Amino acid sequence: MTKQHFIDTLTQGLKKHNIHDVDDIITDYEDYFNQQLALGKTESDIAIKLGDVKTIISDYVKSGSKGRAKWFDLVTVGFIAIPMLIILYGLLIVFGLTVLASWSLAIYYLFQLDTFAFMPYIPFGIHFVYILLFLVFSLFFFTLTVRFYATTKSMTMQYVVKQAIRIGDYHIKPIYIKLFNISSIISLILFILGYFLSALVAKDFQYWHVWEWFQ
Amino acid sequence: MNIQYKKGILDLLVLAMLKKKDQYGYDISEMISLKIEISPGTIYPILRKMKDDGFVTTYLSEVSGGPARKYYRITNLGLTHFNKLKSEWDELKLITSYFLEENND
Repeated sequence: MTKQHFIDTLTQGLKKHNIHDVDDIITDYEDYFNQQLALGKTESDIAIKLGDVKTIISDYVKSGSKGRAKWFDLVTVGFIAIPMLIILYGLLIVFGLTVLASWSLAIYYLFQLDTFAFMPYIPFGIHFVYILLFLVFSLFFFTLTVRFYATTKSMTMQYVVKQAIRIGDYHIKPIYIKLFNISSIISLILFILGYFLSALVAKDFQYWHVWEWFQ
Repeated sequence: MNIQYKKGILDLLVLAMLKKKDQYGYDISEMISLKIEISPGTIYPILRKMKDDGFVTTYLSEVSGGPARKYYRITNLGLTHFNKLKSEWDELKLITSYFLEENND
């Protein structure tokens, strides 16, 4: 096998299997040929020494150098990856503030504060459901934020280390996943429960009119 | 040598080489294939895998009177990985020598 034949077969095989940066791989093999040729070896001897092309291709396929999906490749490009990371960090701040806001709402209603005139009126008794809702919702958003932070951090690290980002490649403690699932379900239940209890107390399905929320 | 042994130890050997200094891709494949009889063509896929995992990075370096050479450099992540592999290897060595020892009761 000649050098050209070896390189061509390898290039075609790698491209067929959607391996990324084929040129980068080819550089190594061309280097090898050039160095060995300089030592006076023949092209066919070098090709034999390098090993079977099919085996080499299957090594690359097995080691997962494959681009998983087309749009992941887009993320690897700097001018997309960097703005995306900035947006993600912005969202992270918004998420954190949501946790704080939801928590503050719970405190506000818990202590029956009336500092802010614009805060909607919730009758005593039913307000406990809302306090619980705000607390659980705050927990839900907290776990969401932790998860989101882990993803964003992993993506940043990936970008710094290898200029390529694979989404969903992150690790957090299983307890956060568990809390996330539980709190999301409880929030939803409390939200629906809150609606029906409010409707019951106000004797109107559009209870916000009875409590004059938007006057 | 058993092919499974070779494959298991290759990552550690490559990282150990890179820990000392940056290496030309050709030198890595040459040195390792000389020592443990593996075809040099199968070392490059391992280097690529380590690059994808973020253990090494590559850069091109100009050489007078020839095309640019591709050099490999170990990353911080690679150093961590090296330490992990090395401690695993040390442990394996201890266990093996314990069982191979003739006169322990």
